[in-house]
Amino acid sequence: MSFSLTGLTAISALGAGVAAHSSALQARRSGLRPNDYEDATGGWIGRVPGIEAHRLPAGLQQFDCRNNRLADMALRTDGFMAIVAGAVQRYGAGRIAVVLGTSTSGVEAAEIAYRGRDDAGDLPGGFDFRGTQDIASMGAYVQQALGLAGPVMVISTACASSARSMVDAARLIDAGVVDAAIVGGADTLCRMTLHGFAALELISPVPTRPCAADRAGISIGEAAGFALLERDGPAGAMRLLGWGVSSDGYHMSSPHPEGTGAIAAMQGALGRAGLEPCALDWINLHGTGTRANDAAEDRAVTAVLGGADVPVSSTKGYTGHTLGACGVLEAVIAQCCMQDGIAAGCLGIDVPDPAFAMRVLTANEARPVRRVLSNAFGFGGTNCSLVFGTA
Amino acid sequence: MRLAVLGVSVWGPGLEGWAVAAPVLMGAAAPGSGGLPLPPPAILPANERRRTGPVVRLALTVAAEAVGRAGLDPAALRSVFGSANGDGLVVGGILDALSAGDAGEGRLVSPTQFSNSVHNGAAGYWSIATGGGKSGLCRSATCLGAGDSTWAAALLTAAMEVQEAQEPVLLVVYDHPLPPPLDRTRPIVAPFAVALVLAPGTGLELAYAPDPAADWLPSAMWQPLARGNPAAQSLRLLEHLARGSAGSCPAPYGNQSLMVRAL
Repeated sequence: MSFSLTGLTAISALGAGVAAHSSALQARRSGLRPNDYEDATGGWIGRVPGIEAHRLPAGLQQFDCRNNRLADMALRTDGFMAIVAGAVQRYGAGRIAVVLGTSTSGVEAAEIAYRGRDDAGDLPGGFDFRGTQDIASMGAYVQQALGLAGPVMVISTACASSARSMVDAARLIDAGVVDAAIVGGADTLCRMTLHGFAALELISPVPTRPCAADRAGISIGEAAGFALLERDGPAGAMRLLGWGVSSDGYHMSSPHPEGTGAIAAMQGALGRAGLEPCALDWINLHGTGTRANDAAEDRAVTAVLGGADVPVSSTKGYTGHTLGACGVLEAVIAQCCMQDGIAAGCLGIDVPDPAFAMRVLTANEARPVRRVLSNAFGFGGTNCSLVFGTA
Repeated sequence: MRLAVLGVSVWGPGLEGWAVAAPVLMGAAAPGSGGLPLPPPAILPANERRRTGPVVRLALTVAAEAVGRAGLDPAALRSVFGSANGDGLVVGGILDALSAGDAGEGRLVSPTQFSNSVHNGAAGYWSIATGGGKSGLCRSATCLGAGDSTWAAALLTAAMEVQEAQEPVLLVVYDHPLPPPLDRTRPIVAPFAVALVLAPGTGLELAYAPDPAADWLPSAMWQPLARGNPAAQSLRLLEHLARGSAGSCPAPYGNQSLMVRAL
């Protein structure tokens, strides 16, 4: 059972829409820039221009926050709203679920409100918890903006959130609860995330260099992306062929050093897709650029491939680590690579960590790309691996 | 779709664990005064236990009891956690720290607090407690939020997972009052958590319905709690499970509903 990712689109530091991502990947152009969002935490960030000036439509102002603005910008990219309108005609508004992912939702609105507390400690009257900070605010926003009336939920499994949204949505379709679902999600810059990763000493002082021997951590990014998940999609739409989910059961913020949970997720995804590892054309790693993550993922990928020659890379050097949005953003990247016949290589490194056994691409490799394994791992030891393919 | 309920637990004011709650929910005993302290999460190793706060302990307490009552190996269970507000105590603490500190004066946020701030914190600690290296099993532990529809959304998601996997799934739904000043913007009347071990079989019948839920409230005594904590929307079902009675106990899901019938 596979599913069409109809209308798949995203917005990130690389630009708005599939074409912008495709041209940046082909040109090997990074969207990272020195941190101009929160000076104190340093490093580089993948910031999306224009969020501050973007306005939500009239009647939906209670949802106004950075995260829902970026979500709205993504809805208005690549004709996605028109595609959903067509789906409403086909299926009916009540037969389309909204299953999205985010890790921090609109917490930036609460950060701003806390700085505006009055002498009694009360938050400013304009602060709307349910419309902004609430983990489910984007679900409600997207449902209303698209005029849908099916079940809504927001998955929050840290950096695996939007990847996992596709899994839970696929199950709803498979069970016949709905005919289609809006999947994907958003995560946006906020002080909590930047100071949190700074406290963990995981922010790279230079643009993140996943898989490099001297990699020094993460560059945080922001992104939003969506697709209409349905059984039958238009010709040429990328498909979700399989998924695997697991937990490390090891530590809240460090991966299992042997990658046991990651192995289970990848093997589950391949098994569900009915593919042997050698059928993969490229693996897009979670590859955050931290010492521990990349090393553990090398062990896990090497174990899963079992000697199959499959090139791997991380695209975090292009976009930054967009946290809960990385799953849907990297689905767009997989689609670009399939369309353009390239496996996008890591940015900013000449030679991979010599301790790694994976075949890490440090340049783009021209090749047919039909089957991509894409990893998203998160805090809480949560893992989600997806297999994408052409029809 | 039909499911069996292999284990159940609850924690709320006057409902501190299933042994206390079952006779109360049957109407055979008066509720206690409430306020019994949560037990420390014995299921976690000591070094991890120290890092947990009341919200994680609330979720882990019901999770451990429900799995124990089901007589299953917790490491072998997939799990679905649902919470409208996640760990608001941790997030509120970080928001306080961020607003109090000046940029440039060094670390504003504790690394442990940040790790614990994720919405899937309780799911993460549950998987640390039960899975991974000790068991060699890496069963998925997911987490979702859906505001006031969180009970319906999490129950539906767990049911989907049972149906697909054809094996037992642990469902844990919990919410805890937020700290000031957030508590005034999103009131939660009391801590409440429910856990069910669901499996293929017969005991519950579920169906998503396009109509609003009618008659979803529990007995009068529990209605303020059911209206004041999304997890406590489960109380009408818990009353049926305690009595062993059949009946309808729908879950509100936005303007729609999840039809739930105890068989």
